[in-house]
Amino acid sequence: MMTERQAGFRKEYRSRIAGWYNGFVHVLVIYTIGLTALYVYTQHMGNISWWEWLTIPAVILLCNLFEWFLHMHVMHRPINVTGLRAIYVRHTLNHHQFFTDQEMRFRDEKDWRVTVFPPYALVIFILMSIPAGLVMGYLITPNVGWFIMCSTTGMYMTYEFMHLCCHVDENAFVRYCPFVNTIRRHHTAHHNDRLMMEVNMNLTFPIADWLFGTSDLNCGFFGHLINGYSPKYLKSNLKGVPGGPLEAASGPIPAE
Amino acid sequence: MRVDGGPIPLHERLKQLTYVKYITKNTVENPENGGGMKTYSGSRTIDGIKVYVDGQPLDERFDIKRFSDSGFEWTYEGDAPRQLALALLADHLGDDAKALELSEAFMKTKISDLDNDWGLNGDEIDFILSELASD
Repeated sequence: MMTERQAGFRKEYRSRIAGWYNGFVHVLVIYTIGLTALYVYTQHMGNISWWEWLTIPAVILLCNLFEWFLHMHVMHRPINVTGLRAIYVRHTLNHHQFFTDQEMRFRDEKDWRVTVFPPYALVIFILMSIPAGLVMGYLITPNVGWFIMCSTTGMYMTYEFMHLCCHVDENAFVRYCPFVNTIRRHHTAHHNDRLMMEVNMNLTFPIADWLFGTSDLNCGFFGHLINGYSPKYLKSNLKGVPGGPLEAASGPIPAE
Repeated sequence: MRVDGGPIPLHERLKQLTYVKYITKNTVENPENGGGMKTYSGSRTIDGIKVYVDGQPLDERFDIKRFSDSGFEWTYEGDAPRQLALALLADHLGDDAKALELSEAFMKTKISDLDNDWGLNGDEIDFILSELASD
């Protein structure tokens, strides 16, 4: 059940959303940029050797670590660097006040404003990936360089998709799809205000959280990946008791 | 003492020893300490972090030590929470050196455990400091 505090914040935040904002257009722009980029990358690839495919899991792992680092040390820490502080404000002071482990759901697509990154974020991530793509493309093979670009762009789009799945209303897909249900529970726990600054920083797959011990679960690597909604392995020494996705989505979505 | 004979950790003692018990004990022994108590509050708002002492913004006290130039934060152990601990203690104790000395322990014990919105008064701070002293 949403608190008055959360309801009040939502009302204030929504009153400040520009009238022209459309969540569907927002997501469409991001995925148009991403899919176009993927098309451009793949047009430059050919005669792929089997070992060149290994670039994908390697980069996915690096992206996972980067996701953890960005979430822990930029999105949840105030930093006096232009641009980085804005990320903290948008995330800790906006996104985390709008959604809590008591109420995690969008009311409508206008609420995507407080969840989805601005479209230029993907452009920035693509630009950040170019040096690595160029260097590895030169040192190893061009296909490896292009696979790096494919993987980083693909992981960003996966991040946005998984994050949206964490904040939609309960449905069969998010409830039963492996990995999606896991991150949905994982992220709901992260939105507990006593845990949000230090626990459950991954938003795609809880790999780095398992690796660095910042998960709310006490289980192994594969247990983390396929935990689903289960609270069975919750640590006993957490600062707060996290709500689960079923509680966070209980009852009708508040109209206000 | 726990049933296994071991010492009870400070954060557990703070939960068990109620604030009311402390205030009753303190008031009986020091009846003059009933008023003039400052109230500190903090909130994460849409317009930023807000921390007040008796309704006025709390000074970060960068003149004592600059742990973080990014302002206050809480609910974790780090530079911004330590700056908050320092500022709170400096204002409450009126002793900058003492505040600096106690800031890390106070940050780890209390600041790292604060919610989105929180309130503290002078008696509560004294209670925590007395528990830290006896630990």
